[in-house]
This record gives sequence, structure tokens and C-alpha cells, in this order.
Amino acid sequence: MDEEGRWPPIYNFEQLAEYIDELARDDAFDARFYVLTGLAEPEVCQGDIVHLPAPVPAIADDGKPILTDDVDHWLVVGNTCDFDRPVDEVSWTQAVPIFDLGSEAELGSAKLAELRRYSAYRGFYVPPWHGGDDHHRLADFTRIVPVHKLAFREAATVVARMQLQAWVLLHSCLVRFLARDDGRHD
Amino acid sequence: MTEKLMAFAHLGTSISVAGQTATQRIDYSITGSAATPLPTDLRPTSVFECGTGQLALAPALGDVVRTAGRYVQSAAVLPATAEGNALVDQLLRAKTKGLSGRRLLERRDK
Repeated sequence: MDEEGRWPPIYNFEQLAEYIDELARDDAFDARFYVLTGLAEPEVCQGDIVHLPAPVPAIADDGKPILTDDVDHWLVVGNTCDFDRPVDEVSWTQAVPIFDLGSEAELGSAKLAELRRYSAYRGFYVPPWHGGDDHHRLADFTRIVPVHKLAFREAATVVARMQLQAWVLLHSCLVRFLARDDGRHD
Repeated sequence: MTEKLMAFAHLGTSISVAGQTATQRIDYSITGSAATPLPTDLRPTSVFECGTGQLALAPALGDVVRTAGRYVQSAAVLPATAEGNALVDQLLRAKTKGLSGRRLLERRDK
């Protein structure tokens, strides 16, 4: 991350592929996924894992609002630029709930290996982070929730921040999720 | 390159289609402006006017979407697979309650 708190730009496809390949093929995948210091600066970035115990709001099949699953952690998917803007100018950002899949023994090594391939549109595998437990987790892209930016300052704690390669991987998966061909034009 | 919707082509205009030797005749004209518009994927394809003045048909929308989809898949580097999608869907189903959530309190009118 540079002096302005931003990741450096990626200039071409080869560089993008290099970043993601480097991460995916690394034996020390979990260790290279997150930064170990600097969680407080800047306050919140895209890709941060935040501790914010809260239910997941949704609109039910009858059109009425409901509160569903209680989760402890969220993955910030809103753009980091929005956090730099004044709250009265840009008040909201977005996060997706992270579901706890348990330890490797509970999840199973075969499933874990598949999750580490990042071969699914709708979920993003979140490996254990330094200082946390040994549980593996899954962020649900299909349940994006608007979050007031002040909630992160007042009620949440950033527990993990991605390294550049992991953040690029998240970006790619977000693009893949939002822009995938749905077959309507076949 | 200027894009012109075929909707503005005159009835019976002859249009040369790149890659085809025979001239293709396209008969299409606007019959009204107040009707409900066609769904996006049923609208007529676009006609492009090249710098030379020659008209060319745009590729079919489905082809454009599929090409864009391939670029997205490539950009993601790690392609999505049926196995990966099935596993994630199964894990999320098992971990989420679906619609069995708590209702919010409704405001009562006095």
C-alpha cells in the first residue's frame, strides 16, 4: 500500500494474472493472504474483514423486511474511495456476511482444497487470519448489505486486511460475480 | 464510428454486411412511438456506419455478451467450475436460514 493508503495500480492483464497466480500457487497461502500490521490506517478498506456482530437484513418473499442469520464478521466490498469521502457526502458502503465453516477437520481437506481454487461465482473463501481462530469462512456475495460508514467507526473492528494479491483476487471474483453471463442471450 | 439503430433505417434500405458477398435487404421501420418497447434482447440489432459511409451490422447481442463473459472469466484467472459452484452453494445453504428470519416490528397507525 502506498503513502496515500491505496494499492498501486495494475497496468495490464499479465500483471493481474501474475498477482493472482502467485497467491493461488503459494504453499503459504494463508500466511500471504493478510497484512500483519497497519490495520488502523486507513480506517477501513475494501477487502477488510471486520468484526461486527449483526443479523443480515433482507426483504422476504412477501416483500417485508426481515433479519436473518446472525454473523460476527463481514467482508467490506464497498470501494475504498468511498471511505475517503466525507460521511455527509457519501454515507453508505457495502459489506457481505461471512459464514463460519469451522476448522479444517470439520470442513474436510477436499472441500477446503476446492474453496482455495476460488472456482465459484457466489462465494469468496476467507482463510483464517493472524490473531483469530483456525476456522475457515465463506463470504456470501449474494447478500450484499448497505452499511452506514459510521458503523465501522463506532461499532466494528477491522480484524484482517488483505495483501495486494488477495485484494486483486477479491476484485476479480467480484467482477466475475457481477458480470457473469446469465445465458439470457443464448 | 457512428451507431444508428436499425429502427431509423428506411424501409427497404440495402445494407452490405461484412463478409457476405450478396447484399442483404433489411425491411424494418418504426410503426409507432407510444407502444411498449421490446425487451432489450428482442430489439433489432444495431447498424454501424463506418468512416467510409458503408453500413455494417453489429454482432448479435448474445455474441457480445458471451465474448464479454469470456473476458471476465479470463480476468478472474481462476475460472469458475460446476464443482466449485455446487460446493459453495451447498455450504451457503447449510449455513444460512433462508427466509426463517425475524420479522421487524411493524409501526401501528394510531
